[in-house]
Amino acid sequence: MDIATLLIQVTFLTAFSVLLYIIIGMIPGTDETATIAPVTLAFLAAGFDPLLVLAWFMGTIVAFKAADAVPTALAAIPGGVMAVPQVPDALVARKYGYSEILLRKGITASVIGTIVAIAITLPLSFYLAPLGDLLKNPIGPLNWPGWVYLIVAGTLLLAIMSKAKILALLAIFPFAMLVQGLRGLYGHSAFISIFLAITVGPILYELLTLISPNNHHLKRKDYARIKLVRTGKISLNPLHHLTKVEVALSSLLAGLSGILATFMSPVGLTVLFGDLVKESQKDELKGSLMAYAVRDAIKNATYIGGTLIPLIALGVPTGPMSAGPAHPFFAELAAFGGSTPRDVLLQRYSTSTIMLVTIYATLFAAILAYLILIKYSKQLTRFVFKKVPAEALYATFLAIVMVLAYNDAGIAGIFGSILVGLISATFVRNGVSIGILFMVLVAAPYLVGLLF
Amino acid sequence: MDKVSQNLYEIFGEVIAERDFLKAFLITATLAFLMYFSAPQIVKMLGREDLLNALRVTLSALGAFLGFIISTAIIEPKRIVEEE
Repeated sequence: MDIATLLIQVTFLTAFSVLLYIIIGMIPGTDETATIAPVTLAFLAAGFDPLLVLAWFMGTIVAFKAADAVPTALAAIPGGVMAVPQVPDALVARKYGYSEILLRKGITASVIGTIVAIAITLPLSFYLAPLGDLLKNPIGPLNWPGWVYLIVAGTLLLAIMSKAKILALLAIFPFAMLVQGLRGLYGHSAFISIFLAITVGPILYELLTLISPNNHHLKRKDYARIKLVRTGKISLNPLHHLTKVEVALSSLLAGLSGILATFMSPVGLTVLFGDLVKESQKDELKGSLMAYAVRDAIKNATYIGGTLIPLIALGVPTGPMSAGPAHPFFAELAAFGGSTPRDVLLQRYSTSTIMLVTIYATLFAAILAYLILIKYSKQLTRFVFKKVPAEALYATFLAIVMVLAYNDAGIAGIFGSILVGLISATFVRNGVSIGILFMVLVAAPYLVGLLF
Repeated sequence: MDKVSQNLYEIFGEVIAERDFLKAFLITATLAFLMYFSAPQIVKMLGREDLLNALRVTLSALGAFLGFIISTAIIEPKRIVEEE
């Protein structure tokens, strides 16, 4: 495919993904993995060009992460899991009448996070490429490939950092046994159905509660009431929205987080650095505005760095992002003759083509998302809240998961997905990070090997 | 659908109605599986049986997306938006 055709296709795909995921990102409760991973996997399992899917994926994460903070700023309702730490900052801003200013700061900071992350992590990932071979050869006392030690170390680190430390540590071996047990039953190394089951586990758990007699706590008498704050005309100039200190902190912490996300949790980094910034300020309002902006920059950067460094440099999913939403790129798929989309991507395209297309898709998505959100955030939020029912969205992702599970392992795949989904949800609801479960899924054969 | 005749539940900060969810799920799952199982006929017609798995997945995702649009058109969101 020549470069001009490629860029034209990328333009259309990115524009489509930005528009679609701005809407999905604004809908409360839309988990990033549950809404991005099944579609990415569907595209790749269908054999679409991995570079085009990567461009689509970059556009999606940029738009999704920028958009999920909009309902947070305007209505103090998080658009997604990653925006949850921003709610307290949004409430402080609302108390002082700064919601509109907060909105502009968040959207602008997410663009800064995107630009810094792509500028640092993409060249770095090619520079680090020689490390990939080192990680693939068996080494050390357990004779595991290098990457397995990394992913197990990452899992332990995430477990120790999570709210439910002991439960998270206890979850590792039983969950690895569940994965390997199902694979034994299916008779092949199924991945898709188990991976998707983890992603939709929390939604599945809540929906199954609806048909249980113990669902009184979820019953409501009336519709959800959403208060939208007033906003006026917003300037398009990004320099009007952030202070110099906010630009500096957003850039610095986004760059650092983009690299750290290779092994560390995006949510963890957003909470950690955001809280550090907030606590460094004596003034409550100043601290909250700054923390909100910094968290928005980190969200985009961790998603970009956490995808690109493992994808291009290491070739193995070493962190929660690459073992989670971006994992379809590392899966061995029948559509690519049993190879991974990642290997096909690197064989089919030169370094310069991959860099050009990735940079173009990411920056185009960032600029488009910025313009749309800055100009139409209020109208879009009103449209999404008034027109898009949550029922339709949950149903769509469940249907995609069901059909892919069926494609992976037949009827058994669907039942297996329900089982994995419910067990994952039980862990997640009790404070175990979903990233731990993704990483255990990837390392399951090695972990179970230790037990026998 | 009249809101008083439905059981409402709160999931992930969203209020959803039991029957509306079931309706949306039946629409999207039926369309997704219909498209999935129609793929063999379509590849036969095209004479490209090597594309079977790819087309199965693509068509079923398309079916689910169509289901999303239809459900969005016929189901009322359970939110009351108040502007300050």
